[in-house]
Amino acid sequence: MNKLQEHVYLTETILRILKQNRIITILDFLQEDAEKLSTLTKLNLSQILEIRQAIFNKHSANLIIGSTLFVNNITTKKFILTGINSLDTTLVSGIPVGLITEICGLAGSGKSQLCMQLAINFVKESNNIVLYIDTKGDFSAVRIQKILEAHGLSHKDMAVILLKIRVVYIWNIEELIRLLENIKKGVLKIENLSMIIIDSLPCLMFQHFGDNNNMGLTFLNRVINYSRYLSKEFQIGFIFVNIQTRWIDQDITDPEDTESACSIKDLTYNEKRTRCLGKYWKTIPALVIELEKLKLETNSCVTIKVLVTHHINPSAIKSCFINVSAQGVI
Amino acid sequence: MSSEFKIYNATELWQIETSLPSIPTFSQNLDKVLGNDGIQLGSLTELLGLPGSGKTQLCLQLCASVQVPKALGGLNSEALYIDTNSNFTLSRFKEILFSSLAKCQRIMDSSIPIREEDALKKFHYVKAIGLEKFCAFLYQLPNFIRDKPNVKLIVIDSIAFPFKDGISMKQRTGLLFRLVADLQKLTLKNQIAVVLTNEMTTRIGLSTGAIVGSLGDTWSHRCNMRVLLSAPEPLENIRLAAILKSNIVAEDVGKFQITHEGIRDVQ
Amino acid sequence: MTSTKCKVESGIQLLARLTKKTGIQRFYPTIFGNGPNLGEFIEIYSEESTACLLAEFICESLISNELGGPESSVIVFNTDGKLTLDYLINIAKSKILKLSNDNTHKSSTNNINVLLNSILKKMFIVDIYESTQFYITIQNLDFFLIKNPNISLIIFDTLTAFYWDEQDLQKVTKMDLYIKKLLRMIQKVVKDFKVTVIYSRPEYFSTNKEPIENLEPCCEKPVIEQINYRIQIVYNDNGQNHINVRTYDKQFQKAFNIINDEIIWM
Repeated sequence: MNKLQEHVYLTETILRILKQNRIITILDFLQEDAEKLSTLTKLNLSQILEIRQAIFNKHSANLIIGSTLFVNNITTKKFILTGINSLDTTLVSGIPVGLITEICGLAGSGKSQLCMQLAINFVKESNNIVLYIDTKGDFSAVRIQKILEAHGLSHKDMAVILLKIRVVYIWNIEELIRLLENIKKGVLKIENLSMIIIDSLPCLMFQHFGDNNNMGLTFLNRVINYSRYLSKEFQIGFIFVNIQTRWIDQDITDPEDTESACSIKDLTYNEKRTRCLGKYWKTIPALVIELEKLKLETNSCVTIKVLVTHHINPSAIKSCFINVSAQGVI
Repeated sequence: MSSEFKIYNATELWQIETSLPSIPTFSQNLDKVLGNDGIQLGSLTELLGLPGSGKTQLCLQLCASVQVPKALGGLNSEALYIDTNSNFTLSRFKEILFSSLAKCQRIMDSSIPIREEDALKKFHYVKAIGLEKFCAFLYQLPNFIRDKPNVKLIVIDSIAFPFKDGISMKQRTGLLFRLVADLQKLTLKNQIAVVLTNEMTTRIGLSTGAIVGSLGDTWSHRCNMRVLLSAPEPLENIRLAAILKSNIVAEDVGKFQITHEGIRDVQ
Repeated sequence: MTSTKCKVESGIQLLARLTKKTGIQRFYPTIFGNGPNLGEFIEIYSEESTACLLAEFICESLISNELGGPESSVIVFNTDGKLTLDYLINIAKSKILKLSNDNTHKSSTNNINVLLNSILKKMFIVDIYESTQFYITIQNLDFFLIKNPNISLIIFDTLTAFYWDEQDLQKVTKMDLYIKKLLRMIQKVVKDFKVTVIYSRPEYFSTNKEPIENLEPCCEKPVIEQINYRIQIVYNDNGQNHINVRTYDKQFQKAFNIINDEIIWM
């Protein structure tokens, strides 16, 4: 919460008087009765109102009427197709712009592979730029180039695509916050930015485990705030990679249920999967794409089952299959 | 006002990734399965396996391989070995090192002798037993690397051992991820390969089998490449290397053997 | 001079207070019966998204009088909710179509669009991206309400979006207290206006992790820091979803399906 700052009417002396009366932040100022403020500061009422208005002008959001939003909305792109046919069919319109998407799965389920393919597909037939935020060194330009080569692209065409994929290495969550802040403030300008992929968020969040405080969640909140701002105001898509972990739920079956008269209780293990990052993160993404590698016996490609959940109807989970091979993710 | 962040484009990264060769394992089969003809610089590779599966042997071989002369397409660089579980024996390393260099000389048909003391100078050994010593060393690793800019391989044998006791699981995760973030920031920038060994542990009830790498599911995502070493015939020298996870290559299984000379192909 | 300006301000305020304005009573009898009344606060929580129910409430309150709706205006505070304009328009269109067919009204596309446009003109969206902006915009609510006196419903989706950002190393505010503090602030700002407030929160955001019947009871009338309705949305894997509704004197359930992203009560 911002403190009251010096203003043409709010001199240092006046600020000190206000502070003594426990009016320190701009919120304190706004919540205090105008007449009382006038008495305290010896400013007249219209000056107090002017200061109030200045605070509102600077910090309050604007009320946007639905019809204006609608008109502005008509020409904006609300989805970006992934370029992977089965996935696009399942997603119906593609990855949403202005909302947060999550890709999750167990280790080795193909999340980074999918992200690299998405980066290729988002830039290849447009002027779009993708920013790949790498927190674990999984991005491989050589892998991308080999995929493009397998599709028969010329060196020139490959170079054009590679140039449109931008990569930045981020090693802790404070760096991520500063990066997003820099993009928001225009310190870091990326023309035609259409998608930001963060691979992966747990790598940053896990660094805060075991501390006896909630700084990790505070930082995560800030990341989400900036991500929402950028995705809406800059009209870009946001993909966060999350991981799944497995835990075992030990179920004890009722001996009466079994056919034999065996009196030894049977232990069955229920393997459950959790999306990491906790309860706070759980309801943040509007779209969750879960990957599950299938154990099929082909050498040349791996099949991955994809489960898609839109936030509006959490029980309606659609699924499809994608393949990962030397030609990328198809 | 310019930003503190360096934004690369994929072309620049491609040039960086292809500018230096990988570190060969001296088994062509294994090199092929690892993709890129060996362990790529800048990557984070995890070796898993039961005791005796060949993790330490493979690490020692890589420490020798990093010295392969440029004339043979090698790096001619140095290695840092961080020992946390006392599996290292100098005699065995010397055996592997000198065999590997002798092989190089035979191929080069060179008469210039490679002096053993010089070769040993390119190997840096640090004993960091216990969590405190381990963290302390990693903390000043940037200085170490700055003083020894020819280091192109860092081996940590093992990454799990320092965390065995005296730390809660949550704290272990927090500390481990912070250490590895700092480590990878340094090694990616300086194009240094990192190879970690990890131990196996038991988790009953998992659908993929009860024996898994230790440090949990959260850790299993962290490295770029995860290789599971196993010995199909317990008393034989043949080893299998299964790629469990990789950012650049498909899952496959490589085969190699451990000889008195080090890691070699199966004949 | 300056004091005259002040008198003019409160004159407008007085006018707003006295203006006959349609509240949203009986706008959703399935859940609220003859309510909700002005000044009442309604909480919606769920382990998953609350978007479908919020969209229902928003669209129903905007339905024009000629189709049997309250024709009220709505402000939506969009903090970390995921309501999009497209989604709201789809639900609104679906409702208009159903009601037009019922009313033997001309359900021509032209007419639908006219009705849709009038709905959009009564919907106000405020996008909030950070904590300070959130609090200051709440303080600015009275200005919004004076300027648009037909607003009878304010939605906060969600109310808890900036909680973690505001905590610091030294102390962590209890979640229930955090909500109460916000309720107090909002109640103070809107007390002179005839509005109903609905807010959403994630299910875990509660000091007391109990089922709905064991949470703090609801009040019959508007009370500072208290709410009047509590609605829990429970989704089930096989589509057997339901809401649990708690008021000051009763608790009931209602089952629903989601078809084409819209709630259909069973």
